[in-house]
Amino acid sequence: MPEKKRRRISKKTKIQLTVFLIVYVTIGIINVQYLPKSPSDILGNVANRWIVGTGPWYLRINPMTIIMSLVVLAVIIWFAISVHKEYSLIPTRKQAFAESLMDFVYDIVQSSIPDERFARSTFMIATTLFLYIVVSNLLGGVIPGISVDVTKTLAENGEIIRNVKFILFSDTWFAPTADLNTNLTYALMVLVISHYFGIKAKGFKAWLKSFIEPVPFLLPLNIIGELAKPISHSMRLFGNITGGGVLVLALSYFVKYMFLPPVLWGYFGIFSGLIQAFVFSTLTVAYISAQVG
Amino acid sequence: MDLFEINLTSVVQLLSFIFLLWMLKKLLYKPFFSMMDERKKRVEGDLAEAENVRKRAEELEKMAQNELKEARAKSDQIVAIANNRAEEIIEEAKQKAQREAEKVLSTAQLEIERQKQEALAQVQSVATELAISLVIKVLKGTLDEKAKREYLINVLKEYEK
Repeated sequence: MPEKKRRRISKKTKIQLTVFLIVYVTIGIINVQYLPKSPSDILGNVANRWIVGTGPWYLRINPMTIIMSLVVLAVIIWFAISVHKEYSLIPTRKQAFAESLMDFVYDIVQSSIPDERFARSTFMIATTLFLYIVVSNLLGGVIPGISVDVTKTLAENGEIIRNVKFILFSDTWFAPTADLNTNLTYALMVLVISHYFGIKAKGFKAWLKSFIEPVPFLLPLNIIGELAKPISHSMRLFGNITGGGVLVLALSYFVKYMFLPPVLWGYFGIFSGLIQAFVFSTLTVAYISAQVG
Repeated sequence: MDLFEINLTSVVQLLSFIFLLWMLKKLLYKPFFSMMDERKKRVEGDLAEAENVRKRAEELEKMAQNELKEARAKSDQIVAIANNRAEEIIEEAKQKAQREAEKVLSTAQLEIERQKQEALAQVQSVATELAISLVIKVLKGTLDEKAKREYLINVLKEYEK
């Protein structure tokens, strides 16, 4: 019987992994002295965000979300470019992976929205959301990188002063999906798109009439139902990712950031991240389908 | 609370999403759809071709069956003709053989008759010779040779009558 071929790690990869591990452990050891003294110290800052700017909402911004969002965009676009370069009728390994992913989403979209006009647009929105959330969750859940610890103090004039401390490789990257700005924006966008498709598919009168169905008495409930959609849609993802992050952070503290319990890391980083991305994009398809159908 | 603060970040996130969607549409979705359409077209083309081939095969099968039927009919006809011809040939041969036999028979009968006549003639001649010699023996001395002969000839003429 022919022997099973074992996939061996190349020498280059071994060197890279060793260097990474040495850097990771060294920085971890250096970071230990800067760590908060007790679990309450670290969890005390969990709800704080690095916000730059003062005044009304349009003058304030979360730099970590923007930076990480750009990283996510860069990763996805790099992948898309590498697939696009070698796109052919007979797919390469990378193209097959991308196509199987797109096929998976397209099958879900097609089974919910048979109308080709809306199916393709919905597919593009759902796949982009899926990719964005998956990469964001994986970066934020698995890969150690730069994270920030924000402490807040009140100035004499009542203004909040944020002290930002950058932590290297002790914690995972900050996931943009752990910021409600991202999730709520995308959920609202889905709501607007679903209603736009609904008007396009049914006509304005029929769309308007759908709010007083089955009986006009239910109009307020229908409106509340529609408004609740983006809130539940965004909060679900936000709660899972933020909660997972807090849990990993707390548990990591107990092991002094040296070795994160791998099962937890795997669960919150990969499993939960993938599930939440899938749920978000599936709900997007469901909301659009409910309006179009 | 920081966790629930909505600010300019949401606008930036929306713009970044639109940018990502635009990029992915260009890099992934368009090639994916065109490839899907092409594959679909190819599959449909192959199916249509297979259908045509199937139809053509059916036609050919029908044609072959018709030709087979025709060939069978033709061969049956040829066999029937051959049988008739064989019967005719056998009949002809029979008749010819019969004629030959009859001819042989008649020739044989004629031959027998001729041989019979010949034999009779010979018997007659021998008998005549014997009779003459017997008469000559009997009449020896009573008649001369000339008278014997004339007498005999007369007797024979009488006998022939």
